Amino acid sequence: MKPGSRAVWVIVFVTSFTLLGHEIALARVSALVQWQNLAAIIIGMAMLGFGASGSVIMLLEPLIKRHLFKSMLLFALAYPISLTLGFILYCKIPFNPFEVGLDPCQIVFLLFKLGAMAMPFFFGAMVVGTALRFFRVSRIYFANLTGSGAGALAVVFLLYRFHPMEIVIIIIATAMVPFLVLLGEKSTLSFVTGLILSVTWTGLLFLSVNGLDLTRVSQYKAISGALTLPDAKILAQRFSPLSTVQAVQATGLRSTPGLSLITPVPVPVHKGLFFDGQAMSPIAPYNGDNTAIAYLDHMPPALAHHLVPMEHRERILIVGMGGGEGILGANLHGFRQLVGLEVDRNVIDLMETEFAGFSGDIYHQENLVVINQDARAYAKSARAYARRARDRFDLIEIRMIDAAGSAASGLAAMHETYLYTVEAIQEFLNLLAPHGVLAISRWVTTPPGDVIKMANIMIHALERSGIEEVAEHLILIRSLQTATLVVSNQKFSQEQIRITRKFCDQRLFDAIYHPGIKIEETQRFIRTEHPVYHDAIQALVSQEATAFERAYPFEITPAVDDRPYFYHFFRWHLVHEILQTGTRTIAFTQWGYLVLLILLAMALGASLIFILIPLVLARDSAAPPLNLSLGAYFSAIATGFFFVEIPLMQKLILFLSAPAVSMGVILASLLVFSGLGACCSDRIFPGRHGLFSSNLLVTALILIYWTGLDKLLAPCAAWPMPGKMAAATASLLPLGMAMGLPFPKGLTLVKEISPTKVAWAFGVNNLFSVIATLGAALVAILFGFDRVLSLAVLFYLAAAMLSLKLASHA
Amino acid sequence: MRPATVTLLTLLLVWLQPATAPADMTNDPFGASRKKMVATQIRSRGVSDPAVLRAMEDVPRHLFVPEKLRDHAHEDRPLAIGFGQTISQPYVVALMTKLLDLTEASRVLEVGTGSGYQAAILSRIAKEVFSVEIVSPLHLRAKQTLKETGCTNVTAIHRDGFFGWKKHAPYDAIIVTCAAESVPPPLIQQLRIGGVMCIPVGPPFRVQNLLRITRRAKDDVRTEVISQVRFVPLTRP
Repeated sequence: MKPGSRAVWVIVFVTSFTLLGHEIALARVSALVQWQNLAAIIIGMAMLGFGASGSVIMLLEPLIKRHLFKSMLLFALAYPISLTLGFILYCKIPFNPFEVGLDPCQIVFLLFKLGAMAMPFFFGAMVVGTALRFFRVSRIYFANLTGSGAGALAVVFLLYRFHPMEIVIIIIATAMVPFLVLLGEKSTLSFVTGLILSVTWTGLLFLSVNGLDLTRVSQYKAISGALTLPDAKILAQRFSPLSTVQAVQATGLRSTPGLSLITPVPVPVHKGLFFDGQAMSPIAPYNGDNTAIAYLDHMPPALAHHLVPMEHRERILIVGMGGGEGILGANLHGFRQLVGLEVDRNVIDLMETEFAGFSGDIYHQENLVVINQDARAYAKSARAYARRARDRFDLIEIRMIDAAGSAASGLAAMHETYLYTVEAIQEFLNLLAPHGVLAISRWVTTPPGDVIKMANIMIHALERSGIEEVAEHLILIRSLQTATLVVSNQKFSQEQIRITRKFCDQRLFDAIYHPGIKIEETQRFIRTEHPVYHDAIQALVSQEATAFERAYPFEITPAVDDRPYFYHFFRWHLVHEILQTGTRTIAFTQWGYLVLLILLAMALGASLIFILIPLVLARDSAAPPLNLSLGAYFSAIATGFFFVEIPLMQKLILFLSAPAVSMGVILASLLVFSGLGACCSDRIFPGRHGLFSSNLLVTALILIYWTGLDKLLAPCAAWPMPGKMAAATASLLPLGMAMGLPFPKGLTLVKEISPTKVAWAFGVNNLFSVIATLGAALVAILFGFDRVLSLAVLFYLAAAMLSLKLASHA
Repeated sequence: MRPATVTLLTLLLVWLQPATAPADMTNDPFGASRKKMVATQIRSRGVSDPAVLRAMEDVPRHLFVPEKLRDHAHEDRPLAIGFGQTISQPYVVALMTKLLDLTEASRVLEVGTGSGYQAAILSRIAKEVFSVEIVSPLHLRAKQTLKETGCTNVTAIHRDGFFGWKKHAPYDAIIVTCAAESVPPPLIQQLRIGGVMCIPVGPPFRVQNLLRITRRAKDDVRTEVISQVRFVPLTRP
């Protein structure tokens, strides 16, 4: 095998393609059968596998060099095998995050699960790392990045057609290609033998997916509960990068969160739409007879309908249509024009076809306009024509679209949403008719964080909209399980307050807050030890709001676009509480967030081990300051890369308003452009100070993007989606190319000054990518995306300084 | 009857004994664990109702958990029993039983038989226990265990708990042992005026609110949030 061989380029491209594809597909499998948080961890584990490979290559370098072809062949064979075994183990290890802190075995299971995740990435990276060490860096890095970008894009599109589990099998089959290419270099006979073995291996895996029960969903997910009911069956399922939607039918399946205890009308059996196995959205049987859906009037969201006088019930905007309960509620209360937003195309398809008969074909009813768009994008585009009063809404209803418990446990702490930010609520307030109301319903959680945070967001949105007496514009009621918040641009009238009281009295709901409420009115039917919600709202509409926010045991600072809604309520003093009371109270303290911190610590520990061990074992002759500078340089550019990538994604997702697709497109374009930059790295900034200049260029571009990207893209905001995607992609070209320079230039320099350190430097770079991915997420949760970007500037500046030092060794 | 036949029948009776008679407490290997459980987890946390404590000491909890978890049966936590369900932590069972204010004459409806353990505890205190379970395998298993532990005053049925069991209504107390997304209104209608319902609300294996609902008049129902529970009560009393 010779340097520059086209076969190596193909091998690295396909390996990188499958590595990134596997990362995304595994994240989808995890979100479907287990939990979203595990999906976030996969990125970290992938990088850990990469990092470990760098250290191993450095330790085994003489051996690999002597038997380069055989080594590549071995790694290329081990890669698809580890993909298969790692995937099977990942699915079969019985880890239950809810038992962490109670069952010591769960930590062992978690470690094995993390190992199973990291294993294929380790072997895949052995292929890439070996190629980087022994072949031309710029070309290999180009293949690595373009392969990764193509992999990300391909999987995003495959996710529209296939079950995530099938995509993993497709990826495993593709991962055989590098092995076959190498065999082809040896002889035709070897290639044919390898091909037969590969086909057999993939075929066996495909056949055994059901036998091994790999698709079994955790028994603690909502869909598992539904499937234990009599006569339960999955009627239909649809895939997309957004989520897997499954429609379930079963005897006794109902979802009526917050239903009044004294509902005098029957509740029908629903069919359920489950999103990634969670968050059931009910489909009620309907034939136009409103008596069958009268129960909807006995649930807290109905208050908002009652607050709009009958003569004003003209236009309603339903955010999150799902199974159509919002439409039925609007029909029941006589709204004349309905606009429904549903971000998931699959839901619309299911409701318009398979469940049209059962649901009374409500998605096609004459007075309804169904819009397949993200709520933020709609709010932005609707603002232009909503200036005319007749285009505004009398009621905007944000349906309860989150799974019960996701906010309470901190399980979704890494999963941000831009729907519940101060800016988003302001945009919706702008769409209201003068007398209109905006309503949002939430689960009542323990500990009490979510409802209070949401109220705080609405209060801040009202204040930013120029409303002075915010206390007069807010109503909050609760049932046993849910709460409904209603706000208006106008003060609530005495009549509306009377309606609220009557509504609550008749249904045994408690009014928590409305203008003029007295504390004794707040706990009439549901008594808690302290009137936590009422006290919180009173404080938040008073002068002491900031002091209350700071003193509250959980994080309730309002979410803004720079620091969106993360389902995160953790505060550091809770660690002290856990240490004092033992792990048993962990359930009450946002443990999902703590798990992230523990994983970050584990990643840091593993990184240090993998960085230091090779240096110790190799009895390195290089001067310690060089090792330090090398390590610091590659860790700085790795951290910098992710600290740029994550906030940029945030900015562009907000621009594109379609998170899943835009993430794939952005990731792919950034990687491909960085690959292009790497390919040209020999020609851009050649010479002694090229490394310094390239880092300085990245720093300057980050500063320009930080301040100028929004302005640059603003004129394209109203473009159709493909145009916006093209604009976003094009805008990434200069920065992407520049970000592709520091790594190959650095590695080329390492080849000059200490060739044995190439793989190690590659490892350090990847290991710090682990810390960077988790670290960037944590900094974003705590301080916002702008802070992440400012840190990126510092990292690239530090890299520029370090490159001067490295150049002096050359 | 010939001696051989008598011997054979005696042997047969001895062999059948564990399957039909209540568990033999004197040879109960878990008796000491149960006593310790009651002393350290229940009495020490303020449940002092003698009837509840006696029931908790009497009922062989280990028989209601999956065989592989029997050694953990008396630990201070819930255990998974399959189908996404759990057998509640001993303290929660005791607390919920106490909250029902049962007497020897009480007629109780249990929604969500689950493992059958809660029904067994109730059966030691109340006159009659009616228990409904929608998941068929759980119902069959619990019915068998209740029979094996001699709970003759429990009537278990496989049906949708949403509608309660109107045939035997009204009930002095209703206990919902599966964490519910909402409280089914038919259950309130089957509670006699003055009756009490106890229900945990919240997702399984996560923090739940333990509620006591009292029906004061036909359409007057009051709810108290008694405690937040998951595996132990919240540190705040």
